[in-house]
Amino acid sequence: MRVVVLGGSGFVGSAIMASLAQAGFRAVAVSRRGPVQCDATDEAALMPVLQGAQAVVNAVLGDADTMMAATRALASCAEKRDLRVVHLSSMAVYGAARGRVNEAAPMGGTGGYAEAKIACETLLAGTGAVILRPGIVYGPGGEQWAGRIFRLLRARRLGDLGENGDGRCNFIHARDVGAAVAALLPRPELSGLAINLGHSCAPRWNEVLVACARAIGAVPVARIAGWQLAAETSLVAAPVVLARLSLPRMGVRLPEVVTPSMRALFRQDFSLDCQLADRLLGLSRVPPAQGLAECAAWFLETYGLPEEALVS
Amino acid sequence: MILDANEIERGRHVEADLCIVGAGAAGIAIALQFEHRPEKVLLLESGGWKADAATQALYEGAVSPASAHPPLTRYRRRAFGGSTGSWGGRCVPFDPIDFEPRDWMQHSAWPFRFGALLPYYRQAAKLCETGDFAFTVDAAFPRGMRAPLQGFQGRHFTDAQIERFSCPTDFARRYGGRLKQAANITVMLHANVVKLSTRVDGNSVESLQVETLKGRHFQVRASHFVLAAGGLEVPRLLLASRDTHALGLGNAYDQVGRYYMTHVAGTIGDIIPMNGRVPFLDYERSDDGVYCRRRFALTEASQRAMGVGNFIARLHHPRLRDPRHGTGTLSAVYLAKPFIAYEYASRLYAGGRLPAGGLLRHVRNVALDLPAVAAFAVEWFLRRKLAARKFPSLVVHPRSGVYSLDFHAEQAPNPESRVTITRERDRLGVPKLYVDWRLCAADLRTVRLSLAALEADFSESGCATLRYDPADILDAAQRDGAYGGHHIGTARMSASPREGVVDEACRVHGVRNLYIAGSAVFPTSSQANPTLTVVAMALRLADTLKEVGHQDVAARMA
Repeated sequence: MRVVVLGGSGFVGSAIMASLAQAGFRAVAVSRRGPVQCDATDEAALMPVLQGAQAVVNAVLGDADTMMAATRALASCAEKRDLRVVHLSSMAVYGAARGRVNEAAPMGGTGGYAEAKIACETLLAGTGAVILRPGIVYGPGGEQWAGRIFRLLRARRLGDLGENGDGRCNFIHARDVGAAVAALLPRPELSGLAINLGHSCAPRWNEVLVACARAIGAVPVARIAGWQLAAETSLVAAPVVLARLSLPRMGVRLPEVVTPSMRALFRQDFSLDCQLADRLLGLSRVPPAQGLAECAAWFLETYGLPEEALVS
Repeated sequence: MILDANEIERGRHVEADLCIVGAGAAGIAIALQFEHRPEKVLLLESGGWKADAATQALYEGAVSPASAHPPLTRYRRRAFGGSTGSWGGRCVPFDPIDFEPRDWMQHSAWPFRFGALLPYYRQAAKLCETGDFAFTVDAAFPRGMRAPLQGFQGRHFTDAQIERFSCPTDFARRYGGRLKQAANITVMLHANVVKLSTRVDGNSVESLQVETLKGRHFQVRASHFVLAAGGLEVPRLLLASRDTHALGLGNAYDQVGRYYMTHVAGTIGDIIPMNGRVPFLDYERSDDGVYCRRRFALTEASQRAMGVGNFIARLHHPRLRDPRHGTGTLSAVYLAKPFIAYEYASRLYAGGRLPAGGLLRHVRNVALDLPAVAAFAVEWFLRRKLAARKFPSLVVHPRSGVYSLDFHAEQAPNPESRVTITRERDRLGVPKLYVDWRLCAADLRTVRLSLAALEADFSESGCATLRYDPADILDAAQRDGAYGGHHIGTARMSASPREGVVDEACRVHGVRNLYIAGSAVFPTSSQANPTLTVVAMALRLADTLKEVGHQDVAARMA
């Protein structure tokens, strides 16, 4: 089967590419930067790229407009051709849900990213596309949920968050996302479904953050007071985000931030119910300890050892 | 959700599957195990979010000897979070020997061994925010840890054990948000349980009588009840509930309130490290961020050989009161006395009278040592006041180079050391307590022999000299008296109702649906501060309660 992966050179996209290749699919990565260059938001440009493909995976990431435009273009192309579509959505669609959340839960997410993800799902409703809703996608090379978190831990700006870190961390390894895509492509009977991707027993963020800090030697792990976290998200985050928007390509390296949405996530006590994925796809997931060790090795390799370790 | 008992409509019954009395470390730990479960859980708390004088006054009672036991309103906090709102945070598990039958100590065995509690200890360490369950230097500090006294090698004592410190975590502030969010859990503040009412046959509790200080009165009905109100209030409630049992619940054989133990503790002697070496008094942080400190622990083999109870000791700064320590920081802390909470002050400032001209000498110490005092004040503010994980205690090296020894020893279970109720009643009509704490010869013997053994270990290994007057032991033990806040053994576990109050599952003998959490059920007191074990035992009880709840549901279906 020939499969086109939109956003196939991104972090999640390349993991999907690897899984598809391993499973024997002929997969082509399409993105703005190549290998097959294409602006996926442009239907006219997209159509020829999909020539000869039986399936397309939408792993396009970007701002809300980009994600929506790409999905709109894809929906339209898929309608004209007979294409199986797998769309990468997000657990963000559930918004501030609590407790165990299965695929039937209402999509109440608010904020730019979540609203865009909901809008994309709505665009694809009734098209037969399979929607995957992964949690936090991590893995070696993942800057968002490995690199960023490690850097903040090393700077002692994250750590054990106390009452602010009792939320559940619904993580999933990028390879598992790839494996899920590979497992459902040959299954036409699954079309139109939405499927959560995570671990059925999600640990609390505090446990995850402490384990991450220990894995990269950011010890003793800091205890972050409530006022400190509040200061991070209100006093530090706002100017940095503002600076990032106003001086986008000046080559200035701006510090990492703990955004208000991260703070909300750390507190959110909800866990993805992943029984559907277990039942339909029979996924065996990367064990969390192994996933963490891979990420820590990647991080230390890429960003070096902590200064104390270098000194001693 | 969190409600106020004053908002309950008059004449209404409140119903739940599980009702827990007391929202302290034990009660909150149990309630948290029912988060997102089908059971409806009601957690009753006498106080509010903050301690208030009128509620705290409900604790009033009499103590004997008044010179050696703190008043009953002290070291206890009758508010949401219980005494975790004011604890010091020291976390230490009981040792394996504490659970075993010891033929040299009467009434000593627990109904199970250390291993049975270990999985709960691991979870308890997480809840108490004291990190990994790792209490030896090797387990907690794979890269090593500094020794308190260089060159120490003991025949009787080991310095390879550590104590770990909680933030210290106030369970209400830390877990109140989670309890509030849980749809199946209700925390009810300002709800004072004044009596337990049994069914006519006396074999089960039917309801609790609840009153508020504002005059509301209602009943709570539940399938199962847990008393988690602390080692003194638990016997008080049992003894005050006499509907069908003339002597009180679980008290058919006059066992409720007996075997009352705290710890024998004190600061004694002079320690002078050899060759002018500076001992290491400070805390080190383990990888998980927790403050830890080594201590001298009497080994299990020595306890057996000497036929004594459990015992630990720590190096300590000299007594603050005596200005001869010549140390500005210690004098400054002495002068700050009016600003220190009673619970800390009584121990910190104990020890004889201030010598003549003492006040002036303290002021002089401060004046001569101003930079050190200022540096200390800054450190204290940053690491204690501002930090979420607080530096556990004062660490100061005296200029004199003379340190003292802090000890904490087990009290043997003694049926004559006991808690009873009197004819006097509190504002809500509950009989007041009379605490008759006894320090017995065996307890002093534990301290005497252990100190002699430690002195021998110090001098044999040539690391320090320990000088003390054995005649001072009784003084030291009585001066510091019953260790504040440790209320142990008043509803102990036993195989038969003739020897205790609850069975192995912590269920009151002869009462089908009444359980007890907290240090009241401990048959022995160990050297360890009780909180970590209180939480571990609460988690064990929560497992039992989930099991019986399950059976109830199954029975209802059938």
